[in-house]
Amino acid sequence: MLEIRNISKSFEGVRALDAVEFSVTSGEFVSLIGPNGSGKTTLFNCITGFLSPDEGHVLFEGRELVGAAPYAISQYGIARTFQSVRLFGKLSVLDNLLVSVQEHQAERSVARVLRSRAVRGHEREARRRAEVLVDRIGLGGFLEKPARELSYGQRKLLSIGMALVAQPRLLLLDEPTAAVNPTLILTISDLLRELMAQGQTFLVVEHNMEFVMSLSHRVVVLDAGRKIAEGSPESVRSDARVLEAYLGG
Amino acid sequence: MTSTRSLRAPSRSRTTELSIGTAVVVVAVASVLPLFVHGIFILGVLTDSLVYVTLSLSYNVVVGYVGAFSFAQPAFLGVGAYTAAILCEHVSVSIIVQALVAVACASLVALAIAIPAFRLSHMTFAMVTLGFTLIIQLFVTNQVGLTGGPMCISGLSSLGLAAQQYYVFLIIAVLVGGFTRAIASSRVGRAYVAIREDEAMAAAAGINATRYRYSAFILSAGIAGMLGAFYAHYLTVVCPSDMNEAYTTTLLVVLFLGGVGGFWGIVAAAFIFTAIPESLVSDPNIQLMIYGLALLICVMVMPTGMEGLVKRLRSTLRSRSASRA
Repeated sequence: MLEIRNISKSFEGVRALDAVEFSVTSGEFVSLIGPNGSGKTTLFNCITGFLSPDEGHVLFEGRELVGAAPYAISQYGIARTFQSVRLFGKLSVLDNLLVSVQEHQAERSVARVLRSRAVRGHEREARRRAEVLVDRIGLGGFLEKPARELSYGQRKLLSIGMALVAQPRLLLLDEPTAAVNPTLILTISDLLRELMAQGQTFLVVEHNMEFVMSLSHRVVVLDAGRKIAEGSPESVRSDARVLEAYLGG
Repeated sequence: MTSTRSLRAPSRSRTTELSIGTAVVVVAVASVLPLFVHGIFILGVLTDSLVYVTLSLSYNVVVGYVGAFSFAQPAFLGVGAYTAAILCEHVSVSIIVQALVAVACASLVALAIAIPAFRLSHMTFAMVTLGFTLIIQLFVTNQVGLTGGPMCISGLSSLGLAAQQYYVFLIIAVLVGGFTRAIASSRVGRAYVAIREDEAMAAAAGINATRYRYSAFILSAGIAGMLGAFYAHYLTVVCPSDMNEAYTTTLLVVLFLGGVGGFWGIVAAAFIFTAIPESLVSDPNIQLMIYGLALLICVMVMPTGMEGLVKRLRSTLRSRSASRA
C-alpha cells in the first residue's frame, strides 16, 4: 500500500533521513520508533508532502507522492495527525470534523453527479458520520463547543477523530499517546484496536513502548536518519543495535 | 466562569434564530429611518454609511474570513465605478447590466493580481495589493482619453432623490449582508476559517488553501465592483481619488473595531465610523487621525472587537446571574 524507497533528506548538511526504505501493506499496523531526532517526524512530513525529500520515492497504491501538495495527498486517502495537538480552535468540535471530511466528500460528489444521482444530503451524511464518530470518542456532549475550550485529552481525541472522519485508507499518527494520561492511553489503544479489526492500515510514530509492542504487527527503528532494524515487536526488542541506539552505548 | 458558559452554551439553532431576529429589527429600523430624518444632508450621511457597511462586509470576506490582508478594496470599488462610467459614455445599458459588467471586470482584475500575489508571503501579499492600488490610480489619472484623467468622468445619471438613493443602497447592503452571511455558514466559509486558523492543518484535511484564497479575494473584489457601479451613479462623477488607498485605513478600523470575521460588529462599526466623523468633522486629515487613534485603542483594549466585547460582557453577566441563583 505504502512504499518508501530510498528516502533521503538533509537540513543544512545534517542528514535527517539517509536512504530509508520500508513498506506498509494493507491492514497492517506499523510503528516507527527511534530516539529523539532520529528522523521519524521528518519522514512523516516527506510522506504527507509537507517536506519534499532530496532523493527517493514514496508510492501510495502505486501513485508517486513526492512532489504532490499536502492537500492532494490528503485527498488520495492518507490522513495524519501532528505531534503537537493542532485543531481549528475557533471552530466547534462538529465543524472541526466537517472541515476534515468536506473535501473528500466533494470529490465523491462529483463522481455521483456524473452518474446522474442526486448530490443532496451530502452535508447531512457527513454530519451523521461526524456525530457517530464524536460519540465513539466520547465528545458527544461537546458538538457545538469551540475546540479551544476542550481539555488537552479531549483535544487529542478530537485530533485523532479529525484524521479518522475522512475514512482514510492509510492513517499516520504522530505520537498519539504523548502527554496523555494512562486512562486515555487505554481509550486510544482500544479505539485503534477496533479500527484494526475493521482492516484499517496504520503507520504510527510512538515513544510509548508498551503501546507499540502491544499493537504493532511490525516495527521499524530509525536512528540518526537510518533504518537500523525492522521486524516483529519481539525481534526488535531483542535487537542489539536497537538497544544500543536507545541506551546510547 | 468558563464552566458555566459551557453548560449553557446556546445551540446553533437558537443563535441562528437570534441572528435572524436581529436582522429583521435592523432592516425594519433602517427602512423607516428616512421618514424620521429631515434634511438631505443627514440622509446623505446615512447613505454614505450604507456604502461603507457594504464595502466593509465585502472586505471582511478576504480579511476576516480567509485572513489575507488586502489593501486593494478601494481599487476594486474604483474599477467598478469606472467600468460603469465608461460604459455609460459609449453605450446605453441599464444600471443592472453595468453592475454585472463591473462585477466581471473587478473579478478579472482580482484574478490577475491573485495569481502572482498569492504565491508570496502574507506580508508581500499586502504590499502587492497596496502597490496595485497605487498603480491603478496612476493608470486612471493618466489615461485621459479613457477616464478623463484628473478631470474625472462626470454627468452620470443619478439614482434619483436622496431617499431613493438611500433605499437603493439599503437593498444592496441587505443583499450583500445576506450573501456574506450565507458564505460564512457554508462549507466554503468553514474552509476559509480553517485556512485562517491553521493552514498546515487545513492542508492535512485536504483543503486546497490557494484555491479558497483565490475565491475569497475574487468574491470580495466582485462585490466591491458591483458596489462601485452604483456608487458612480450615486456621486454622478467618478474621479481617481475615489480609489484612494487611505480608504483602506477606514476599512481596517471598521473591521478591527467591529470584530474581524464577525458580522453585526462590523455593520455597527462601519455605521459609526462613517456617520459620526462625516457629520462632525469636515477636515479629512483630522478624520484620519481619529481613525488611527481608534485603531490603536481597539487593538489594545479590545482585540476581538466590539462583537467580542459584547460576547464577553454577555457571558460575564450570565455567569454572575448563574452564581447568584
